[in-house]
Amino acid sequence: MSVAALDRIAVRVPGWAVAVQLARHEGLRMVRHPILWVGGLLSLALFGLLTWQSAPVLHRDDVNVAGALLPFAAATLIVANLAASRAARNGTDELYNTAPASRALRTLSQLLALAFPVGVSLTVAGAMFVYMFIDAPVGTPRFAELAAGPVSVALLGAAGVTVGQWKPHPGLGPMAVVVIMAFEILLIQPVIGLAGTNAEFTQRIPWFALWIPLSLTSEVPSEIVIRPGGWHLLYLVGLAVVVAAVALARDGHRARLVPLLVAGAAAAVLGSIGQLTPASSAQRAALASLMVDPEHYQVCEVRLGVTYCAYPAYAPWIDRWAAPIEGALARIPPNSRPQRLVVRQRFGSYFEGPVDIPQSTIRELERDRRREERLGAWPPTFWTGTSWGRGETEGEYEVGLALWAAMEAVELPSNRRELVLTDAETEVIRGEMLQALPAKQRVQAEKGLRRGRSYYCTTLGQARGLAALWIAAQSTPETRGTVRRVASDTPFGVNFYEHEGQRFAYYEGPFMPLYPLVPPPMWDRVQFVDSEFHYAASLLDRPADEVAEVFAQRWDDVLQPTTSTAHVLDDLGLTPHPTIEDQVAALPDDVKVDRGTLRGGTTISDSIPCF
Amino acid sequence: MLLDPMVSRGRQTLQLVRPTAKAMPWRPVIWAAALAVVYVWKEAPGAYIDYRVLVLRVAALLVCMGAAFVLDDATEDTISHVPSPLLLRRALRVALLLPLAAAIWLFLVNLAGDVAPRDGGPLPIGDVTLEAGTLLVTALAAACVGSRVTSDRLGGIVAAPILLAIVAAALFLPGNFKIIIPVGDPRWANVHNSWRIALAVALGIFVYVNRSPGAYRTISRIRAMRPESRPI
Repeated sequence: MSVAALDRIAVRVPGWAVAVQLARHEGLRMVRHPILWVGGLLSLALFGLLTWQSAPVLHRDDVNVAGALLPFAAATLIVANLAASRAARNGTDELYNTAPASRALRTLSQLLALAFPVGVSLTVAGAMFVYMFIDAPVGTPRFAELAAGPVSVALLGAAGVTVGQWKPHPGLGPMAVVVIMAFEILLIQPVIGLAGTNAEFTQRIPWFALWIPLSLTSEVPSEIVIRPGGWHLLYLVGLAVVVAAVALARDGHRARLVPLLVAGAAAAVLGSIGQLTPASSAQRAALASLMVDPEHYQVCEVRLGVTYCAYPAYAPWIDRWAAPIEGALARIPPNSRPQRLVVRQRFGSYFEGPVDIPQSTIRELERDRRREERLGAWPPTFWTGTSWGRGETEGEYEVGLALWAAMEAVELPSNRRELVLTDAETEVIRGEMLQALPAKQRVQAEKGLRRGRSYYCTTLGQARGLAALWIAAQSTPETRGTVRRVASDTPFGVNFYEHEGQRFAYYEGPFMPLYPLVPPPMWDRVQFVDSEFHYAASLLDRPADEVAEVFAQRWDDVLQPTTSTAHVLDDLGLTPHPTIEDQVAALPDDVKVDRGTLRGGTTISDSIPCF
Repeated sequence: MLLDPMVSRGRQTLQLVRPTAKAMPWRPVIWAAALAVVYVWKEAPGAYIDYRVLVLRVAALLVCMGAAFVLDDATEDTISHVPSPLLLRRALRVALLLPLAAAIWLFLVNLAGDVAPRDGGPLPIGDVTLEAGTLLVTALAAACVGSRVTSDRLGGIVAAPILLAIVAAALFLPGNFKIIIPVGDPRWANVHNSWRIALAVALGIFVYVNRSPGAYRTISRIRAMRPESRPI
């Protein structure tokens, strides 16, 4: 070996060793920096905000993990920028030049030091996973989606070093963060702008951003979007390499950086091409088939006569769906329990974001949904989606399922066709039920009766409305909590608001807006009322067996649309609510009353009594 | 007699104007303003009202981050014994900054343009200006706080990350406590009352942290008034 070759080795080996040692120190300084800690906390807070109301789905929340790491990545940029600009800011460049490490090695060490924040980001992501695993997640996370988070940390860290090397000013790091975030917002705009359209070339433009949400409204199931996650990861890695090469180029050795720059640029370009390429027609057809023929893909399970069908990844959720239905069925007399109920999962037919399903398939699904809404389905089917609540919101989803089973049991209309009345039914409503309605609602109901049909019906004053609501409310501890919370948030009858120091009384009308407790097809059809809802909430304070016994004894009576709530109140041990007029009369003198709003509140178009 | 100290303080301030203006680091705010102008010019015109307000908010954030550096004064410790107090010196810097900041903001607002009433307009310029003003005072207060913990009293380096963290945290506030909301939100008026309170709080912090060391020791003075503290 020549002396020159030995010299080269002698210079290079210590150089690397120094860079690694410096990187170790710099990395430790970085991870101890308060800005990085604030970034980590913000990341955890963002992840909590994105997911705290949803049961974990790993093949959806992997996207959220990467997105939630963006504040941490931004903090890494600022910290790396401060590290890279430290010598120039403190005027110690010349002093450092006397050290064995060259300026290029110091830059290299700062880039290598980014391994520490990247490592911390993996820990933060791990904490997010622990949070998800607490609540029995379903699905499988995708490596490429998850890896995009830590790679973004490395990329923004490298950007911080680059800015610090080329323009060492402490203000430029935060400004770079704002500029990058502004670009992020700008690039993901088409996710909204092209809502409801099929995948096209322009629809892929958001993939130039660091992170791309499934949709900005979380209404798109991840199964029906083909995300080029692998290509995007390659694009990010390529960008990180290019940015790192630019940082190193500040200190000369530019010829040696050319291969690095070319490799990075090639990866970025290749990744860009890959992520801009729309999904193939075969891929879209496969997704369409998943939606059009769910029965070919789903796993089904029968429990207590109810069939539950879910896509394989969601099979563990059958337990979650069954709990409220079984809780409701247990309180219905055995002979009256609805038969052959089916709970089936589907991905929906309307999406607030781009999806990779052919437009013709979406139109076909929408037609099917409307037909079913009009004519009903046999056997009675409840369509669940790909979301389920977590914590406090789980009860809202459970109320929906339990109320559906209860509505089937008390024979409330299950489709629009059942809202078409026969002459005999119209007569009964006119003769016996109409007088019980508030004046404003009576006028609206008469309009519907003249036509012999309506889009909605109301359970106002009907005992079976109360029975259905109570059966749903008591079905699980979560539904009990939810119904109590909603009842206390929206007290019965006249309420108050304050404006400029003056108290005003208002009344929103007899209808209980159960959305978002109950899925659309149900609030679209049957309108429950606040008095029965509050009676049902009050019944939760009594032993459920006793209440169920009362309903069971008078079950045939309860099923009759003409049986009013007032008839069963005594047996249930409930005190009738005061009328709105009584409540108004009892108001303190300092409360102003808007007579217009108290007369009957809002009405739901021409809703007629349910028959 | 009573007016004498005020007159002499006024003269002192006038004498400080030129050297302070020369010593102030103007470049960060000018660069930030340039960046903000490019951003608003590219993004705001023709955009829908909410996006236009978002662009103005981001631009304000950029300008405020740059503006925080005008308080950087590496000689602060060296001149701490001079008769002009810290609050005066910093207030003078802020006073010199304000015309420039106002001009930049006016230009940005003008560049963003207004929105026609049929598209949800006009832009709530007054309220967005209140938000920008609050951000500016917060940035300046953060710079003053930062100057206590950084070397050479260069607090600007701390202000920008603090401002970013505050804005990021504000985005996560739960429903009833949100202070960054879209135009047309029914809570808009109430939320801007919160912005006014935030402005007052930031101003209070700015004044509090700029007390000259030893000049306003209220508690010590109260203690000194107690009988047992008095010399016999």
